[in-house]
Amino acid sequence: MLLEVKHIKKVYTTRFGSISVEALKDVNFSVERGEYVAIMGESGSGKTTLLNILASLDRPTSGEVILDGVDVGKIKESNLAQFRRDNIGFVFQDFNLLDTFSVKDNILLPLVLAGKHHNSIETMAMEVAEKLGISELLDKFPYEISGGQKQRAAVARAIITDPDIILADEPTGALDSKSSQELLELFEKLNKSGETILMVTHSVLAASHANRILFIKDGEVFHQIYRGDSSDEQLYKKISDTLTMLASGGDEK
Amino acid sequence: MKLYPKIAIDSMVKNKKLYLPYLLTCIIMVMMFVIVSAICSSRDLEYVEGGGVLARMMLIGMIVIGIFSIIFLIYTNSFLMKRRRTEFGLYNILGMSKGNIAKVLLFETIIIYIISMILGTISGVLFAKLGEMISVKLLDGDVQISFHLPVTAIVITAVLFAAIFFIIYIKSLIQISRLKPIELLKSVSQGERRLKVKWVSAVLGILFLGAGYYIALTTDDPVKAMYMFFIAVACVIIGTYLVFIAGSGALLDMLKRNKRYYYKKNHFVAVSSLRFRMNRNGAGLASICIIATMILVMISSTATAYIGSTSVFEKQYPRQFIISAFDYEKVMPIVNKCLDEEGIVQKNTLDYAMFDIMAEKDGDKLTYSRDNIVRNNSCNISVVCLDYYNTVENKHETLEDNEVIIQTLNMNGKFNYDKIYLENTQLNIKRVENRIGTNGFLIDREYFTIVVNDMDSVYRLYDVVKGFYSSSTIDVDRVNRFHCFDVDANRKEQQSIRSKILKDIDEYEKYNDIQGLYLIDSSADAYAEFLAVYGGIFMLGILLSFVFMIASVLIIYYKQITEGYEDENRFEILQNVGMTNKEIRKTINSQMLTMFFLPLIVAGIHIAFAFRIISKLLILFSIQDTMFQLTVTLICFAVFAVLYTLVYSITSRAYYRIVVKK
Repeated sequence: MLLEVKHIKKVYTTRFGSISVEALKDVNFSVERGEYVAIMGESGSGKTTLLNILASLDRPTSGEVILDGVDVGKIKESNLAQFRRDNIGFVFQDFNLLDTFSVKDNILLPLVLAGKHHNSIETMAMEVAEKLGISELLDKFPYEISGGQKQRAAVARAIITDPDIILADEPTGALDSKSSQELLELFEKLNKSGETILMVTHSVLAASHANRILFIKDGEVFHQIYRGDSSDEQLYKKISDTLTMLASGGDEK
Repeated sequence: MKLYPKIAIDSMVKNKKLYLPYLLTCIIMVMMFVIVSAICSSRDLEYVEGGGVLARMMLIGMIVIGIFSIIFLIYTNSFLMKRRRTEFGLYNILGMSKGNIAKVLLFETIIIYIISMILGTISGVLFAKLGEMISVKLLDGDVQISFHLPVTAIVITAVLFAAIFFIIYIKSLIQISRLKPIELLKSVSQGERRLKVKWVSAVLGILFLGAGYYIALTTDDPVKAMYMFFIAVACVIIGTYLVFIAGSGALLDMLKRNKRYYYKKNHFVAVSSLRFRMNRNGAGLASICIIATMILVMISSTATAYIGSTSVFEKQYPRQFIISAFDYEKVMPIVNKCLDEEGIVQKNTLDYAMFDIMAEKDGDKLTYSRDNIVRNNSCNISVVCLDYYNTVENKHETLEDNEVIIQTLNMNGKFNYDKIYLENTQLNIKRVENRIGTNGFLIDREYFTIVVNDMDSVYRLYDVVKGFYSSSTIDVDRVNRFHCFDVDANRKEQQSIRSKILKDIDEYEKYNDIQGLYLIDSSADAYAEFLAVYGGIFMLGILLSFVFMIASVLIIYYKQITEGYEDENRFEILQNVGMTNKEIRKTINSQMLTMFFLPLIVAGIHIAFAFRIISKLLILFSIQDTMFQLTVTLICFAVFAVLYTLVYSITSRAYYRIVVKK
């Protein structure tokens, strides 16, 4: 088991503790190596909170996150950044590329931070860029390329450290449909080549490319669907139906 | 409330992080200007001896601060506008026309103008009063200070700053009218586009710098140095801007190309973000560098002039009183009688004699110039006795009969004999002291001081000269007797003692005849005049340095804050990608170190090159002690560096707090 999430609870309190909001109640699931999991839910269902906790950007109120046998909660604050850098690859909705760096330097950033030697990392950047089809963009700056190209550069940055898991937060959120389609195909390709991907999204299309879909509602994992033998289209239908059911079920409550 | 003023006030309150420092800058600039123009037009100063000179110097200061205010406020305002473009873009998209935005801006400008005028004037008037009291005190003046508003000064300030704010407003209007709303919205996030390094301007900058340095290093004539100095300053300012803007880009590109250096944790982020903002960084750094240089030049030269001239002054006045007269035998009893009447005891009396002649020099032979016509080998000779030399030079020399010490000026150390002949008299030289420079007068003739063992020897040598050419015009020159002494009295009393002596001599002259001139000089009187000149220069130097210091602190603060807000996002991304807080701190430090200490280092280089020409300028103030100047300059540089580092640590902490969120 690569990732185990046990009884995660997250409560936000106001500064003087008078009002508290429960973002996550009791989240349990696990991800195996090589899986491609999508987490779905409505706005405010706690998806992003969950992802931030998985990414060790935020700490849960209670519960454990175990990544590759390491209890993330027990890592010291000062070592967290390094832990993220070495074990987790990130893809964000708004790309999070740095304007000050060329595409190549953006991709190299985690490796430079890890203190790798400059000779070896440049060939790594070439290889990754080749794989994602952005070789000719390496010397451009982020403000000179399109959204889809930016997101591919961000993916390249996420996978160059060869992380245990790729966490993606609404990766298609800021992309047009063609770029979204291309990115999702890219994710599929990456997954087939062995990467573990965990994606948070509310796009049915994006989720329909995953192998397993978790639905979060009211701070809990409410339901999950496995792809099984379904094609993307069939899975798309299943997800839509589930969401409809979730919505109507919510109404009944 | 009307809509436009309301929007103007609202947006200023919302942007208070940006507006407060700007407002503070405006207030301080107004304050400094009010101070200087108030001192300049103060009536109290007119009644103090030497106050006129000080007022004239303040006028120069007023002009300098005025020019600086214009440049500096426009510069800080452009920072502000850059940050606010997004807001204006939003207004524009929401349906406000550019005309409407212009109106909002107009109200903002007026509000800022009014606030800074009121607060600046109040604090300025208070400080001006304080400054005036200090000046009067410094001049040992005795003027009762009456409080009156410096109306002229306030009016001048109001007009000047109205003009400055008008220029700023027009400049903002041009900026607003030129931009399209979509660009208005984007301008902060885009930063500066990929910038090409301008090699031509880099080379041009180096040429300008070189020219400035060359002038500073090759100007020898103190009189010429005055205007050559201004040319050199202009060259260096232009050169600094060009080199910092184009040169820093070139340097950073070079660093980027050096992969071994660039792809290091600490350099990677720092180098690329410095390169990203190259133009703005360059301009800011150059401004800081130039201001730092100005401060250092001003403070070190005025401090050298002030402190150094005290020693020059002390040489001129070895004792509190100097009495000398053609008719020495008649004047001295009057002086003594007057002092006895006042019950004043003479202390540390010093009696000496000296005479000056013009002579012609041939190797080690000096002959009296019979016709007083200046020739190529003409030189001035002073013969003075040892007591005077020992007192003035603070030494304990002894001399034999016929043994002398020679002091030379303007001889480039070329006088190396062990004997010297005055007419036919041979004198043995114990030591030659060669001096470079002048004795306060700009003469290019060679100048000898011959120090002999006692007063009799002075008279004997005089007789030698006179005996040879008794038929000539020698009557003009004669031996001057001097009587110097100290008294137990403060400066005020000394001044009144002098007046009393002068009155008594006047009284005596009514009934008796005193031949020729007489001199009753007191150091207290001379000191008042002296302080007016040098104290004024020094005060102006400190005041101007203070203004520039504040200006540079504010420029630095501005840079840090605005960049902090720009970088906020960037560092958040870096943290997400896995940069630890420790690494962020290191990156910030590496970025700041370059940002901060580059200007300081370049300012140091500028000062080093300026040192020589400044020492030439100081000759005009009779100061020629290079070691002393060096010490003062180094101390000033050290003090400045400490203050600068303090500002650095404070602002970098502010930056860190903006950029890193827990």
